Amino acid sequence: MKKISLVNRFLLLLMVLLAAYEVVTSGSDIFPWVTWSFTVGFGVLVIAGLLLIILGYPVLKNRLVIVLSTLIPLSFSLGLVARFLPEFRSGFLVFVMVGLGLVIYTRFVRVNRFAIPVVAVVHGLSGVTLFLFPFYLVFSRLVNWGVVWISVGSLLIGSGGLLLTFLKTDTPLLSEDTILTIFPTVLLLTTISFALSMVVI
Amino acid sequence: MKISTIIVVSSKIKTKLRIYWQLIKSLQTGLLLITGLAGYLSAKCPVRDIPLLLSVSSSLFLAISGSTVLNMWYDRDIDKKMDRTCYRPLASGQISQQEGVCLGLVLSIVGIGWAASTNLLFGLVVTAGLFFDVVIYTIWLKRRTSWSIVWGGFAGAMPVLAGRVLAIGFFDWVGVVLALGVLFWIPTHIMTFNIKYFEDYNKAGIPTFPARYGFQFTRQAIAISSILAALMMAAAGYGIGLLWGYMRLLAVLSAGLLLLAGVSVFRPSETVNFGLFKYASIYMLGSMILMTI
Repeated sequence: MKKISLVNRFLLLLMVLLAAYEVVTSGSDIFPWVTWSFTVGFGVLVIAGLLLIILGYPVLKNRLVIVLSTLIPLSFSLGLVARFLPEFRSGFLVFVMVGLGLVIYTRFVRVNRFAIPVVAVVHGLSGVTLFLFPFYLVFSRLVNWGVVWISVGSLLIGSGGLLLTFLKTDTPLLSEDTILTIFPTVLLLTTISFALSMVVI
Repeated sequence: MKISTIIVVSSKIKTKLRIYWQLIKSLQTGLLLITGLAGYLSAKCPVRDIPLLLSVSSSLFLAISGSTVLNMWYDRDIDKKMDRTCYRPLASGQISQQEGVCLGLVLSIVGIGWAASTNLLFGLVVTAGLFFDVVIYTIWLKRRTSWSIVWGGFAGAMPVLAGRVLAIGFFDWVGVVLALGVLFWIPTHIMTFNIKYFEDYNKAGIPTFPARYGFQFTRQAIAISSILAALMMAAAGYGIGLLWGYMRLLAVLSAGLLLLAGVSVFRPSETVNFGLFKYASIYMLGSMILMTI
């Protein structure tokens, strides 16, 4: 597998530092649920970035990546729901816990044919929530347009995830080399987008 | 003096310094030095006494380097037997035994003397660290029992305790917990290395956990010690009074360590083991930086 270049390591380091900064500063004392949700989201980006720097691209083949990549939309969407629709917080938390539990169960405990549909549903629902919910908030005049950066971030990381998934098919959209070369940039831009959205949240 | 002579002499000095740099294991010494500075800065940040900070840094650097050189001098016979270490300066004969032991002693004596003249209690803790490392760990136990790692852990824990003691003037529970954090982190650092270089250690006849108890038990021991290290770091962060934001970042870094340790137990692989070894160093560095903020 392609070796990770020095430039890409540097980009990942920037991503790790930005995500770490957001772990420290995002959220507020008034909304502990929101704070911890975003902590998990940015925390996953910190850990993912460090693991990529240490182990390089082969780490992307580990089954754990599926769980970590599912945690990103789950945690950020939970943070948004908890912040702006607190009455739905408990229900969404149940969805997050059950969804994550099912992903772990079907990937690690009893690997079975439901593994792919489970990830598709859990990842898909939380991803769509993360992408569309900011627009709902803007059109409902609950928050300004800055929150849409989180949709941009979800779109970016979703695209990155799709490109990685296509690698496993017979006809990938781009070559493996190209996908892996741009992947750290995608992760950095995703983190920047999420960080920009925190300004208004 | 002719220019050609100057060039030859400067080239010889450069070569010597390069060899000495290898002898002090710069990365390991650097990490231990950072723990010592973190111990000091955990109570004295922002720094107002720059000369004292320089004194702490220099004395710790010399003492840690000295003990490392003495270890390498004593272990030169086993270093020769291992593929990983046979090119080290003493094992490969790039410098003589006498030069190695003299360098180790000079660095250690100057380091301890400087530390003691800075503060007696600080000097005592630094001396204890060197004693644990060279005498108890390397000379007495390393070739006898796989449990020598515990004493190696005590030695590794002394710089952070020394720094803390110097900053506040006495032993407190935060200093002890910081030291325990390093003590419990050492098995993660060393045992992952023992697994990676299992054959090498066997060839040299050094008792290790994987050789004595098997790989799975060793991985479980690594996981338990990682949990304890993370708990100690959290307690130290609480004791120092870290802001919640920094505590959250510490929790994230700890989660990464525990995640890798867990995967290493349930889905072991060479990659995960190496990742855990590398991540553990980053974890220690990150935790220590947080303790100083």
